[in-house]
Amino acid sequence: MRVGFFSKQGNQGAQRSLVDRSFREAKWMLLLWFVSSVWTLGYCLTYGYAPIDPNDLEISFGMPSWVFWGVGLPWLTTMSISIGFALVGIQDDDLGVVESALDQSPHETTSGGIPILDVSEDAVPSSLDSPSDEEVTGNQGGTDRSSNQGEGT
Amino acid sequence: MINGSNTALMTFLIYTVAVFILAILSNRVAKGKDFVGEYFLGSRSFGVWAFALTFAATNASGGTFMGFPALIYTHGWSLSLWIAGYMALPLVSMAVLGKRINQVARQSGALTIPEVLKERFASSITGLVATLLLVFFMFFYIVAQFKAGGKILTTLLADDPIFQSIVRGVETLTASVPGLNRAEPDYLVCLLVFAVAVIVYVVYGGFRAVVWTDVMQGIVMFIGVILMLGLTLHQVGGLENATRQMAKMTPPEFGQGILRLKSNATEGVTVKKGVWINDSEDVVRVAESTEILFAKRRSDPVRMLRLTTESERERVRESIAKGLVPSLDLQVDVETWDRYEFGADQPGVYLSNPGPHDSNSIGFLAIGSAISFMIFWPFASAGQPSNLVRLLSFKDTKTLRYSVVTVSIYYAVIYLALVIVFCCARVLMPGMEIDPDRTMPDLATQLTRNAGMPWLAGILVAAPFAAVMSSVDSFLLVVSSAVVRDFYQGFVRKDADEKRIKRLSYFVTILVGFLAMLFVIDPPKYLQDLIVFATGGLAACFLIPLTLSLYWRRMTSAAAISGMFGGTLTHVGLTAWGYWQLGEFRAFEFLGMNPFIWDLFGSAITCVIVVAVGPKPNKKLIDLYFNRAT
Repeated sequence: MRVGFFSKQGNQGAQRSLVDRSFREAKWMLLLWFVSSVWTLGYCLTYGYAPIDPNDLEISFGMPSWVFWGVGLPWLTTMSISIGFALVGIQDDDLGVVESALDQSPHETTSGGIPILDVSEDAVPSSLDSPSDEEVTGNQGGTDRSSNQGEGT
Repeated sequence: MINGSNTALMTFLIYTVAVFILAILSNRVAKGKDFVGEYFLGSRSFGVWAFALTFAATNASGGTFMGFPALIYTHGWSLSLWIAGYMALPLVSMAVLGKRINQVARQSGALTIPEVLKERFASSITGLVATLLLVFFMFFYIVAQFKAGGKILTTLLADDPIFQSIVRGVETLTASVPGLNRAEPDYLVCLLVFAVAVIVYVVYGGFRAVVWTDVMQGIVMFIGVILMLGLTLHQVGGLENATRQMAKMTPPEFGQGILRLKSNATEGVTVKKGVWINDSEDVVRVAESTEILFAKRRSDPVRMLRLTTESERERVRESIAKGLVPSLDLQVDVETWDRYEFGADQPGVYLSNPGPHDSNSIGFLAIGSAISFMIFWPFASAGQPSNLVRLLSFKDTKTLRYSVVTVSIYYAVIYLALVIVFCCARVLMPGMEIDPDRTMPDLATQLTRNAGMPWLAGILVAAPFAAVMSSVDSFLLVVSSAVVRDFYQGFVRKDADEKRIKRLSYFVTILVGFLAMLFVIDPPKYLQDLIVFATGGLAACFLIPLTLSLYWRRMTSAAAISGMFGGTLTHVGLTAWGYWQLGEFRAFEFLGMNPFIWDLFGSAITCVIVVAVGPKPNKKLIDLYFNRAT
């Protein structure tokens, strides 16, 4: 399996769950969106809202300069980084097999053995153990390494 | 003789045949496979090209090739900043949720977005709420796209003689039918043809046909835009020349006035919309058709546009002299010309922000709007169920990764090229403000005629067909799947056999399409506003609850339901506030920001509060969806 550039290497990295790897990758993607937005808005709000004198045009590659430096260049840069990130930053993961219940009623697709409830989890039948407060708190945010202890790290 | 309009008719026929062939092939491939999984999700088997292009084409609706070019033409280079949020859209809308939602859907066997939520929390109520909200918002979408499909076809076939004779026949037939006689007969014909074509190929081929036609449509759009870019830059004399000419332009003026026959006229005339009049110093374009009877020698009051830039006037005079544009020798009598609220008499206004605007004194793109759109485009796209459901259909993560690459390049080329092409169109075709939605087909016809290749217009005008069809088909299936899979199979008949489900799926798809068509025979006045309402509403409803459900272990069904209602109610509340403040069906822009930002905020706050004070999540569900090693 190909390991993403931003994923931690070695045993620890290989054994992280898909959700943690996915979340970690998502944070990098959102950072890229944020940086590209700051670049674009920062440049365009500074230079793109000034009145333009037709006799004193600033043109880059045929377009107004603020369009090239504030939109064109960040777009091409973001596109290149997106491509690079997709090729080396996102790790290939096994998405699992499709449940055989594909053609069953949605009520019969049982969430891996857990029967579908007609009410929210606060009325979970006694057969389904609710976690203690500590257990739940320990997993906040979905990034806590301790949540993966059961994976044999 | 080949001209723009019969080329459009030929294109539409060839295109429709190709779509039906793909539907037939899809139907053959689907034989022997599980019906529900195949009809609504193509058996989750799509590779890079199919997944990437269906995603790209579904996102590019009719607005991309009709509304967006019209906006560029009307407001100039500021549209480059308006659309800049698309630069990070492929990564944000495909990869942030893609891997995770696909995994959860496989794990649970979910085929729809409401089903993903239902399975994630093992809660039917969560699924039901999601289904009802999805169907509610989605129906506005379908209705709007059907209208767009009918309108585009009407625009493109307007001058075709065969089409006109069919229209006359339909007009006679429907003259005495209540309801139908209120609709424009040409629009009625196009709406019927468009609706039947889409419904038939979706019903026959299912999700696979939709994806395959999206691939074809995506390719048609790409080739069309590249050809237009080359022809435009060649004919305008290079981008720098176009920019320098745009810098001298000032916005046109509109006025209501009377057209008079000149003293040497010997008969009355019919004045068609779009005709130019070179009246002494003014160059004027008529914005609506009218008749001048010889006995009366004057028209009724008619709307007109006056050019205010000398270089534009010169270009039109040259075109009139060469007979390239329709013109009449009439006298124009207008008392007052209305100037743009922002940008009038300001050379350079088409090159800078906020861009000219005829009715808004702060211009087209205020700073708050610019900031909002950088957030709106990627995240609103990420929250659209028609996009999200595609994330359930790719076969492996390699497909996802290479699709991000493909869509990143695709969007960069398409959107940057469209901005360049339609900025240049300002120079090549003055006066399109009378009907900006015709900018795309008119430019295609002019470019190919000037290049001596009128047949090429067919490929160019196929792009808007492709864009609308690829959106309509997706929305149709999303609503059908919600009704059949989430509602009927989930609540009404849990043990329904495949034959019954198959018949019901076909029936619901046809019914939804038919109802949408009925709604737009006489489209509601505020339809465009309803589209905006539905777009923001869907993303506000689904994005935050779904994202937290996939990544946050503490998320609960109560929080998901609250988040969906939180986003929806914020959206509805701001829209009601806007209606109260402005008297229009438009959401209030609190602090000058797009209401979508506040909707997301409302949804997120609601989710977090309910998680904090509400019931605890179920540990077995956490183990199942978060702690399984992969």
